[in-house]
Amino acid sequence: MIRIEKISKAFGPKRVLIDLELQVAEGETFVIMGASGIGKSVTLKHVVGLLRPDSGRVIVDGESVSDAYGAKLRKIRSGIGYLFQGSALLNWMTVGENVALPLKEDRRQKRKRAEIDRIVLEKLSLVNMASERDKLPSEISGGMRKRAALARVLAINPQVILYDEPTAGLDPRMAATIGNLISSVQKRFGTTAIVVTHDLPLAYAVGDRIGMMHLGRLLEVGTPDEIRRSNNPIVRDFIDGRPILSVDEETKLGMRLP
Amino acid sequence: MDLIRFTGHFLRQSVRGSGFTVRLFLSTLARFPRAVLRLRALLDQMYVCGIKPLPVVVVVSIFTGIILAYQTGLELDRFGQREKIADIIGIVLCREMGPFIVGIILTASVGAAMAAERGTMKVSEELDAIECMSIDPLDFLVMPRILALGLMCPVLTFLGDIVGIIGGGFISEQQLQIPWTLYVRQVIESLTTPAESTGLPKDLWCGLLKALVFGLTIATIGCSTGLRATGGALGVGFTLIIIFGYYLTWFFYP
Ligand SMILES: Nc1ncnc2c1ncn2[C@@H]1O[C@H](COP(=O)(O)OP(=O)(O)OP(=O)(O)O)[C@@H](O)[C@H]1O
Ligand SMILES: [Mg+2]
Repeated sequence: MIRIEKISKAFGPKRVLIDLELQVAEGETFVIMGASGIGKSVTLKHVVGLLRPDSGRVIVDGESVSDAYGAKLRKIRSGIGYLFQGSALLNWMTVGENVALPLKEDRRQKRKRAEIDRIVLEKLSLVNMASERDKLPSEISGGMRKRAALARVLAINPQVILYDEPTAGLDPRMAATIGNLISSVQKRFGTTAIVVTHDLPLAYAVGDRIGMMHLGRLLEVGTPDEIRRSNNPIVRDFIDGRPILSVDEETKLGMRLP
Repeated sequence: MDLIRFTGHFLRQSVRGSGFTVRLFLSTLARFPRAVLRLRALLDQMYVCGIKPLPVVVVVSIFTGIILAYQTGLELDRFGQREKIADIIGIVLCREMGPFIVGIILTASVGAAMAAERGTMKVSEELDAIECMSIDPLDFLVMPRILALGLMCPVLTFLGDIVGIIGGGFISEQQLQIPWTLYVRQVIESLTTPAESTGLPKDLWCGLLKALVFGLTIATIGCSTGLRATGGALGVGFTLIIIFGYYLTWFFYP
């Protein structure tokens, strides 16, 4: 369903992705883990075409996102939901209006006002946010914004969902709820998903496979059990939560891209 | 050596920035007819651009009228021409000062806010989110702002003109002993020397046209600065307004 074919990306002199390869099958949930600043969000942005690779390409549902523009790109994007790391709710609209936005702006399908209201309420209830519908994003907590953003993503019933740190800023029980939600959405609609997270319980719970990102590519890919028992020192350091040396030192040792 | 490089870099950035701004304006212009679909956003923006800065515009205009009347009046009095005060105030305010005052106030308040707001949206991924939902950001964000400011700038200018004339009249009555009725009649007379083509008072509509251009310019530069998320371009916008103002006057009063 999603095929990332050897993409490389650099911002000026800074190389972020180097020949990254990844295939996610239809209905599969793939978890990407990795240190902060390693390029996880950049990878997701390539999948929706917000960034374009310097070389290589990304194929979603048989179409190359990296070469698509205009109407073709819009069509591909209409099947993809992206939960942004910072929620990215529009701050002058209420939570309800934010969730309604992708429905109202859908050019291929005109929906009635009542139908939109119904969907908004349904999706907000799914993330336990129905009572906050008329509040502004500035009036709710960070975790609530995350959940509202998730409702906005789910509103269009996407076949592919990209979750960028869906549980960051949530308490453990709410995190578990979101984990369940991700699994149940996957089961009900057969969605294909990429989940970027540092939250190990979530990764083990929702991931069919987990990939550890390092030096611009996926260092190790495996089932949750394989990753848990991995002998790779870098994977071990990560899941055992060993503190980093200084960033400069790790760069010198070749553990980080300069 | 560094100075040369810096200058070169600065010039290249400026040219590139201007290109972006002009293209942004033209693409947005093509989207104006779609404003009917964005009526709510447009009304919201008209409130932000037109109602919020209103108190400042009123206060500044009234004092401009007062100062103008006071300073000019004293000089005119020395030549025994004090009745001319009404003509001067009417013409100067409507033709030049009105649009200029409103332009500067709007640059500093609304224009700067637009730039800052777009800038934060870029950082907080909101622009990415809009793009992901396949919403045209020009249609959704830029068009209502440019259109609203373009509409509201002349309206504010018109109000500012009237308030300024009233301020001037107040001083004329108090200091120069010109009765209100005479003052008002003179202002109206000076402004109703119609242009042959339109029948409207030329000084007034030239001023309002200028305000329209100012409004469109301020909003375009505000939005383009924000979208590129580079600081400093507002200063350029400010300069542009003064240059535009000069050329417009020159064009209509050769
Ligand atoms: N638009 C951009 N321009 C320049 N550099 C960028 C841009 N986007 C990302 N980067 C750089 O790419 C690197 C990877 O960023 P990315 O946001 O993907 O990190 P991440 O893995 O998501 O980290 P985190 O877990 O903290 O979110 C960073 O060093 C960042 O500075
Ligand atoms: Mg990230």
